[in-house]
Amino acid sequence: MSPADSKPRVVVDANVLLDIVLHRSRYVQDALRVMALGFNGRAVLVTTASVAHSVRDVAVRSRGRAALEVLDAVLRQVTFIPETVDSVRAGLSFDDPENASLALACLEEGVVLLATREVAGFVPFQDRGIRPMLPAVLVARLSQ
Amino acid sequence: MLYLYVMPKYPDSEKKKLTLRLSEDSIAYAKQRADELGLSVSALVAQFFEAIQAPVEAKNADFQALIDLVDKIPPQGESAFDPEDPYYKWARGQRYESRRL
Repeated sequence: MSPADSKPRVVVDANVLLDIVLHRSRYVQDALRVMALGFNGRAVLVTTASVAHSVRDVAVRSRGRAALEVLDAVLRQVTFIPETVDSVRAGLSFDDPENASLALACLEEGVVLLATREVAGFVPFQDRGIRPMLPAVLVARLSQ
Repeated sequence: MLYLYVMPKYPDSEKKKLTLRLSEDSIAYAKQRADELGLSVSALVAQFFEAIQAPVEAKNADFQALIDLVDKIPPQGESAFDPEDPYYKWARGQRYESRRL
């Protein structure tokens, strides 16, 4: 087993990435603490291409090129997990297809830790093993 | 009793008011140290809190580069989130529509 295999994998949701890329003052520090887990080698940060595209769209529209530079720096530390057709298709039957597709892609990849500010949006997947947590809570758990 | 406002790094962040109950000896010692340093007691305690909140780990150079990039972007308060952004409108509308089905 390589050292990377023994590290916890953490999914980073779009709202956490946006807190950094848009410099949302109330949330940016907690989001950066999640990123620090990856930069310091304490966790493997992952997301999906759909999440990255959503974040990019909002970032460019809201803050222009500077936000793209931030997103680029963030994504250098993030690994993409695949979204299969099955996960996207199955997600469409949920109230929130975006959250559902992300959760299902995570389950397919065996990733259960999820950093998000929208914990309630992932409740339907908790009984399948997804553990959505606020960024500050997740960092505290992994720091114990 | 000492009231202390802890101000996080970013100006729009929430102010938190902490109430400390200290013994007379502690307050006297704090005043002595504050006088030595040319600070108010509140400023001294604020520095103490800042120190204990500082990350223990040395910052990775790439992570510091990320923070520098973020600092170049003007902070956005919650009231400045644009609810009329087409992406948010689309996402909100999609959720609303799907719940009506």
